[in-house]
Amino acid sequence: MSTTRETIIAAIKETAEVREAQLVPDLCNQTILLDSGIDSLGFAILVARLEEELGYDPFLLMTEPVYPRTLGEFIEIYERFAQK
Amino acid sequence: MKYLAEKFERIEKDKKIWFDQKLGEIFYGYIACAIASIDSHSFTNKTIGLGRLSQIELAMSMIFLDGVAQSIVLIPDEVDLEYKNPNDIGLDIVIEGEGLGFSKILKSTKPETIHTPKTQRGHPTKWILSTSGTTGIPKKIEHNLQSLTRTARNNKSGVDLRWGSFYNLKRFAGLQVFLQSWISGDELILTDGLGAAKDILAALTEAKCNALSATPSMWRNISMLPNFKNLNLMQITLGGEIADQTILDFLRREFPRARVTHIYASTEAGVGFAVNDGKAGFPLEYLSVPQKNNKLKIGDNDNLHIHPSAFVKNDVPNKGEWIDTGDAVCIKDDRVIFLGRSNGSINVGGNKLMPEEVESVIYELDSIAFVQIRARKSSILGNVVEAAVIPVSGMNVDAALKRQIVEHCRKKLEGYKVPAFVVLAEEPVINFAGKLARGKVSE
Repeated sequence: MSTTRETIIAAIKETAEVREAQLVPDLCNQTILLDSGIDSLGFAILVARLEEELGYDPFLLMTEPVYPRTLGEFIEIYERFAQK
Repeated sequence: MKYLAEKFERIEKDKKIWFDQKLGEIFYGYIACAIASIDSHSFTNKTIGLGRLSQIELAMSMIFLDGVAQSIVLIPDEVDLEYKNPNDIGLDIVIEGEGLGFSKILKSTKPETIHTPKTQRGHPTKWILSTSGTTGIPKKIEHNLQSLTRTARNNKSGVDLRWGSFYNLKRFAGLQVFLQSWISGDELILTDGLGAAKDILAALTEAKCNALSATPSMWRNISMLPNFKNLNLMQITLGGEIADQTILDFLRREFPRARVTHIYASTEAGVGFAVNDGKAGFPLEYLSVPQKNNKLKIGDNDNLHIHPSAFVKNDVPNKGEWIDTGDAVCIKDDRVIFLGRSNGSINVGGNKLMPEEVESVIYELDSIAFVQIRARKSSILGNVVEAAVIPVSGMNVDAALKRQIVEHCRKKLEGYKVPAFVVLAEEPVINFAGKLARGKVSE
């Protein structure tokens, strides 16, 4: 079973492929999401795809809204809400 | 104010008003001088189109022409004038490219030569704006200075404001920010509006922007950029899309000293009204207390209707005094909440599209028997586009078909119109009028 992290990275790569976007080669926790190669529409698609895969959208669940800057922050948000 | 240049009569010449990325600080006096240096004779009483121009040339042209021209037509940048004869669309003159050369004049203006323009103004100029074109033919709406500036008011925040905007000055929202600044004396930062959000944000941060206007989706977007935390905002304005409670709460938390305003404005009706209480929708009492002389009511079709105080002519087929905004609303406790466009148009991050346009593009493919475009809610962009399809017999909705649909749409349509998702449709429902039932807008 994939970890949340693996699922997210796979979904990012799939979204980039579908959007014909060029991802930066070295995705890591410090990568700034909007610099990674995906634009805001791609990002919206990613979040919707992850909702299908993981069953939740943390941006809808959070009581205190947070918008992640880096890939690490993004994964951390998904991991946090996975437990709920 | 009868025309924009009237401001020169009542303001100190050395008051700063604009900060342009290339020209730096610009004072009212310099603008007055530059305006006066061009003979307005050949523009008097004419219909002038403003095409692709830098933001500074646009701003200067508008001040120059207001009160002189019969009409100022703000031509959306998407309209390609190369293929159109200006006479066919009723334009006497089109200003584009280098424009009238105001940038050069501003650069060379010396403080000693500042004087007030002598041009006779006073023709009540019509301002013609376009709503977002969905079929390639933008709908034209006629305004005048009064109808455009109805909500312009003096700065109530208690500090000097320096405005930035992510919108082009020719778009209704960008024009509002420009006029608000000109009339109130709040400074305005002019970026060239062509760059990526990241670059515009960097330019605004550097220019010490403390008042910013953007769509909720743009706010979500820039909040993910590193520079976001460097902004020191005192005024936050949202418009162009439904502002949900989440984004309002987020911005109030990030910028506790800022006043947060969300604006409901319909290009058809002119400016609508503003809400400053930090809650989504608007207070129920707005239905009984006119907002800035705009009366509001919920029509029989559950759409919001506005009765504007100034007469605004437009080519919407509505001869009565109440204008149907096309926005579906509902009442929840003591608030009126926006549900979306009642005609089924989809708003993706502030960009609007009609499902029919995307459907007709997808129908060009031989593999598709049926397609229905619908909105899928997005916590990031408000909505994204979903295509529900039934392929011709023998074919399946598999990865190859999805790729074919997306690639075909990408060739023919702007990015936000390209389906983000392709799914198998349920049996299509045709209503009694023989039309595809799109279903009522729901929360």
